[in-house]
Amino acid sequence: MTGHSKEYLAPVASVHASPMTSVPSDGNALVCAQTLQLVPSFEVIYNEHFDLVFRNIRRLGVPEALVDDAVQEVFLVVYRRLGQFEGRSSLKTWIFSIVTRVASDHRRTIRRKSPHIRSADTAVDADDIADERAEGQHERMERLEGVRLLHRLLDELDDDKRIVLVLAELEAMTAPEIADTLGENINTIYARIRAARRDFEQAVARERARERARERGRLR
Amino acid sequence: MSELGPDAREILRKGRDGDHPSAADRLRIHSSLMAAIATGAAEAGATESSATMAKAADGAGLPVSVGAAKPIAGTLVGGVFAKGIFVLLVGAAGIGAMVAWPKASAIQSPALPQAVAISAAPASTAKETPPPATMTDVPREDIAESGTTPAPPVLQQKPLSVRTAPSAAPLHVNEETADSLIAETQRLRDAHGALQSGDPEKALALLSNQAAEDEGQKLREERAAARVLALCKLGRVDEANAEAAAFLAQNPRSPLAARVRKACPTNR
Repeated sequence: MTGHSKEYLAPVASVHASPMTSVPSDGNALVCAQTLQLVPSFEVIYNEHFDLVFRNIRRLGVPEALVDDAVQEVFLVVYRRLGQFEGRSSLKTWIFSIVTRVASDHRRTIRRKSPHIRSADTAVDADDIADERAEGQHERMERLEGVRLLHRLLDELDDDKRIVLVLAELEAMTAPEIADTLGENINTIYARIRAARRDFEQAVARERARERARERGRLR
Repeated sequence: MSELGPDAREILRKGRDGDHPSAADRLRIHSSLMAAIATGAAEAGATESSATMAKAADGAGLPVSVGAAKPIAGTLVGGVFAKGIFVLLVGAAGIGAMVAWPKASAIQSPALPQAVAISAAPASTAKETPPPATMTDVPREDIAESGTTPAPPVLQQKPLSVRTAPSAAPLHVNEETADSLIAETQRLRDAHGALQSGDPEKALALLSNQAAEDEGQKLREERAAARVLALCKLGRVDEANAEAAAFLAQNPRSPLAARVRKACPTNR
């Protein structure tokens, strides 16, 4: 390996004059000497990307019981590797690449140990979710059911398609961003998104068919 | 590119709007993360999920050594982070490396400017620090060769701003909780250091101190297990057995139970 190293230049002095004081999220940053881009501190990254990491760990098939571990794992990788973040891709893309790898590893482990477990079976449990949002029980259950259904349908996709569908449709990432995240050719990503949408449509159709069958069963 | 139908889009919309984490999720994981970092879990050794770390870093285009890939395992596999941390603290003989990685003092020191901490640390490792890689161009052999540790950024001990989605009203994590957890992990880490350096008496003093109880109860189970180890090392086998029995009675499913059972030769 080549031996060039990266250094971080001192950030704006006033920003770090008092690290204990609350600083604007865009001010608590370092400057990468190589790219001259601002690199936020770990805590800023945690604050700004926690939601993104948490919701996508679940979307990518990590069961509810393992979500905390997986999210922590993602941020520990970020913590350790932040000093080497080059800034050639966006921070969001970089973090996503970690999320997808961690989630993939968890899924593999789960399949190996419990091949019949499906993440959506335990993805949402109303009793497990403490939520400060002001919403009624009905709204809450409806919201959770929506999440459960989504996770169940995502479970029907294979891993590659699941990832691109989540990134494209739920995180509104562009195909070039997805290609950057996954390290894939952009044409491959376009084809995969197309296939993922087709498979998701088919999963929705199967779900609706199951619902109709259940409804018929109830009416008999 | 083919588009999704309205039904599929509605399912995606509802799912997207409903799966945001709560403030409790954020606080819970932040506390565990801080504890893991404070106790060196980001660097200490373990084995099981080293592949995860390597792959994650690989996918992120980052060089990572096999040794560096180990740390997360012990804390992640066990499920409960603090438990994993303690396994690292107490159980893993030969994990001396954790002493070299982020000191809790660095995290706790409010006077330490982040800029100093981050810019100073690479200075000592500048020659060894592997070059940063792009997202995709890190060959596996390079990953395996890289054996150095990047300087960790400093985790500041400032109030954590918490958002509840979709509401934008900011909350603030209980800073006292985070402080006490750091204090507890620091004490446990010190006790571990004393045990490692052959000073079980000091370890026992740290673990027995009333201040340990006053600091918090989140790691009480871990302290109790460490006490058993310290007593064994001091040759106070009867006391160790008694405390081990009490520990196993109170925490029969603890991940530390096996370690406690084996602490003294007679604790079977």
